[in-house]
Amino acid sequence: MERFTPLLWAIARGHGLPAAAAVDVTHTAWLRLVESLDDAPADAIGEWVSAIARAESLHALRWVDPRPDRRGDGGDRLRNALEQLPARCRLTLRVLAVSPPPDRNVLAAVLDATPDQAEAFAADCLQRLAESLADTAST
Amino acid sequence: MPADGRTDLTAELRAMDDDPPPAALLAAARAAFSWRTLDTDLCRPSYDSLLDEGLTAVRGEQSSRLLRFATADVALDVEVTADGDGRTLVGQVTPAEPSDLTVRHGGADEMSVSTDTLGRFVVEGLRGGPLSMRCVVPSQNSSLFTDWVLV
Repeated sequence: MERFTPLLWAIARGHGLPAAAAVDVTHTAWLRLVESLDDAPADAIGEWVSAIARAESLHALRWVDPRPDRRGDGGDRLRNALEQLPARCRLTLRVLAVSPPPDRNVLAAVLDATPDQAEAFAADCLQRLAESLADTAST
Repeated sequence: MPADGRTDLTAELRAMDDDPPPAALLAAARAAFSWRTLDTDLCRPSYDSLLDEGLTAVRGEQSSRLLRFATADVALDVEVTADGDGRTLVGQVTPAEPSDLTVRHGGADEMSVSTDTLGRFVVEGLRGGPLSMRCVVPSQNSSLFTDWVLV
């Protein structure tokens, strides 16, 4: 079960929540999962709990000041390129980078999209990141 | 863009991840199992002013949120007031008679109160975070157990 914690954390932080709120969201998703283990679909627990983390993150954004998902001190080329992207792309890329990598169904739950849409969107975001990196390199 | 370029970029993104989950969260995740309530149907809110009214809390100021949970036998109406990190619950259990309320909060603490003769209660000194409540109405031999709600 602990393998989901990095994923849930990435979803909460990827929505721009500050650390304290992201802890609460991850914790809540966890508790809801544990209480619902008998009801959650056994072969789709990752999607199920990701959808909860997404919903709880969106709720939390109603009363918490969102902050840019800025990690570390910034300054390197990858971070700068990421910050040029829209929030939904940053969320997607953040979740893509979780280890172990989320499957397409989990990505779909995070984005509230179909797996095909989620995959296409993720590919588009990687493309935009590559272009943003190329732009940064050429200036 | 070739597929291997994407793989490289994903690997680069993974390598820059310098915001791992806090260690305390991993400990809390393990502890979550000890909170498990077996063989109980958990109640989701049937009304939540935060979601149903589209209210946005005024940041940094006192704000309140109304929640309603209901089963066929028991209903629980709660107003959650937030003041910074602190939370206060004011509510009423229906049927309106003495009952016992247990509040689990923050994923690590539990607090019990008895309602007055009309089923009313106040719980103070809670902290923001996951919250779950159970109320037992002895005269009806019935109870209501809520799912976790982040307040």
